Amino acid sequence: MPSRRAILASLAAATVAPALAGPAAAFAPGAGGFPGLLPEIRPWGKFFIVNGWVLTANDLETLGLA
Amino acid sequence: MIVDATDADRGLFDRTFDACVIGAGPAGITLARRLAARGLSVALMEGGGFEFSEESQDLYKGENVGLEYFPLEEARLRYFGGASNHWGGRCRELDAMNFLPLAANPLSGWPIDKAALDPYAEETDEILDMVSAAEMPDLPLTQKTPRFHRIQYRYSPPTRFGEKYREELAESEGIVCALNANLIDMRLDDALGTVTGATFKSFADGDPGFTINARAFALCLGGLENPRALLNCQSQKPNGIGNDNDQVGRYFCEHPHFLLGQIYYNRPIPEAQILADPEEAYAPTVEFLETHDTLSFSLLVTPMIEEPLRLSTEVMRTAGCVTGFSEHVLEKVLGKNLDCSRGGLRMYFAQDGQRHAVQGRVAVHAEQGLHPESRVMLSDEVDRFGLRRIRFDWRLTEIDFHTMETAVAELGAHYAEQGIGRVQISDWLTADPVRAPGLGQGSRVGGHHHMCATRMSTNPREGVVDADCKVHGVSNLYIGGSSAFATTGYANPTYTIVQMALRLGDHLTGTLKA
Repeated sequence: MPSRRAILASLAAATVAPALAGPAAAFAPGAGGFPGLLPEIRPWGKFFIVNGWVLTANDLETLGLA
Repeated sequence: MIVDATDADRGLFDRTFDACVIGAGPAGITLARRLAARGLSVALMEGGGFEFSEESQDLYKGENVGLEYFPLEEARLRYFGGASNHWGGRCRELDAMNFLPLAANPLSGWPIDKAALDPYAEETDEILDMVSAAEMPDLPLTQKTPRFHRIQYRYSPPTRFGEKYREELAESEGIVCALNANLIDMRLDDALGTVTGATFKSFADGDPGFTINARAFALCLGGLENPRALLNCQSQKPNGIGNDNDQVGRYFCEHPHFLLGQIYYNRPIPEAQILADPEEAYAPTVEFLETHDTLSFSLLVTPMIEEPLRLSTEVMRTAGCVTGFSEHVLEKVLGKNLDCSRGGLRMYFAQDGQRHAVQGRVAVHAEQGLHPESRVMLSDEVDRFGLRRIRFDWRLTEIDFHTMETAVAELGAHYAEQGIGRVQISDWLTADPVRAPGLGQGSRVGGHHHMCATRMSTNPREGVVDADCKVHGVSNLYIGGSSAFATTGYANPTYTIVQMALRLGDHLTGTLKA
């Protein structure tokens, strides 16, 4: 039987607040980071500035903003 | 020798010195020592005493009509040793590119290049008690897209010039140093092109004052007082000495010090790793400046070390951040102010139980753009000697904000490319219109670096001193200190101030011995 720690670890891996702790948490569905506000997306070279966050194209896909 | 002008035998000054150096801070002491070492006689005049005093410091009070700034009487120190009495010791030479014209900064470009100051680096290291630059080279930086240099600042202990050189000056045969000797006026010859004497008074009531005669004069009063002194010398020139082209006091620059953003690391950074490399600083490449049309800058990243994350806290934090309902309950019902950015279960399992950082702060020390209306003027209020105080109008412009936003956005791009983390730019910098935060709003605003208000220029219509730090149109008046900088670069100014004082000393020696 998996240990409590292992279960919690797999739970953590499944969350949407992992490597992108800050921005992902802010924009994740249901997170309510900017309730009622559409994020402002500004291209910055190969990157994007989204409500002040400097994000990659992959980040935008992850966040459902692409 | 060192005497107090309050009670000194003023017969000591009844002669013509080779040079009169006015102000005994890093620039003045360095210049006086250099000239004396070359066999020249020097009167070194200091307005304050050996220690801080209210009556001396009061002369620094002034009026601020520009951006929010430190009170002027707190942004510098008026006693023997000058600003070195409170500096932090951070040093770096100007980079070669800082001497060159920048498209983004009209009027920029120095009449001299870095090679003119390089010969003074070794001696400057000795004066400031520092290891040489060769022992602390800039660091290699892994980059997918070249943007930055990973720079290293060097540190002076810091050297307090008043303490370090007091005994040497007291025993010097070539230097007569007068304390509590406050500059009142400078007199020009009939042609108004040569300074013949400078008058001083002590703080003693009814002091009639005394005059120093010298073959050359050097103002080393600091970046705000140098222009103030020139503007106040109105007995023969209504607009002040050296101000025929209305340039004195203009182009005042600081190094804007602002918090530009936060970094959120992908993985916790262990405390041991942070302590092994405690100052993470970046400066732009030449290509960066050309590509983005910005000024120069340095970015300083400070990881915020925290205690190890706790499982119960991070379970709560994760739950709050991934479900709107939980967040709602926790925030609205239980009054928890959840900060999803600071941890979470993944961060908990990625740590090793040590103190670590999951966030960091990104601050800037930026070069400032030249602006003629950013300036030191005279107010209508006078000090105890009847000299008009400073009216200070520090301004930042669009190029300054463009530089800061570009700097932090490109750092964010670098961190994302390298898989280090993500950067969130400070709200004030992305606002429209952008407005710099004031004191007490999480930023230092400036570094007490007062530069460019008697800037070096080839053209007398674009500055106050020439390539030798000689005031345009005056044959024997020189400026020492950061007010003579043509532009600021991003590096703290003391190192360059000392280099330039040594160079001025060599120039004056050549001129006076010719």
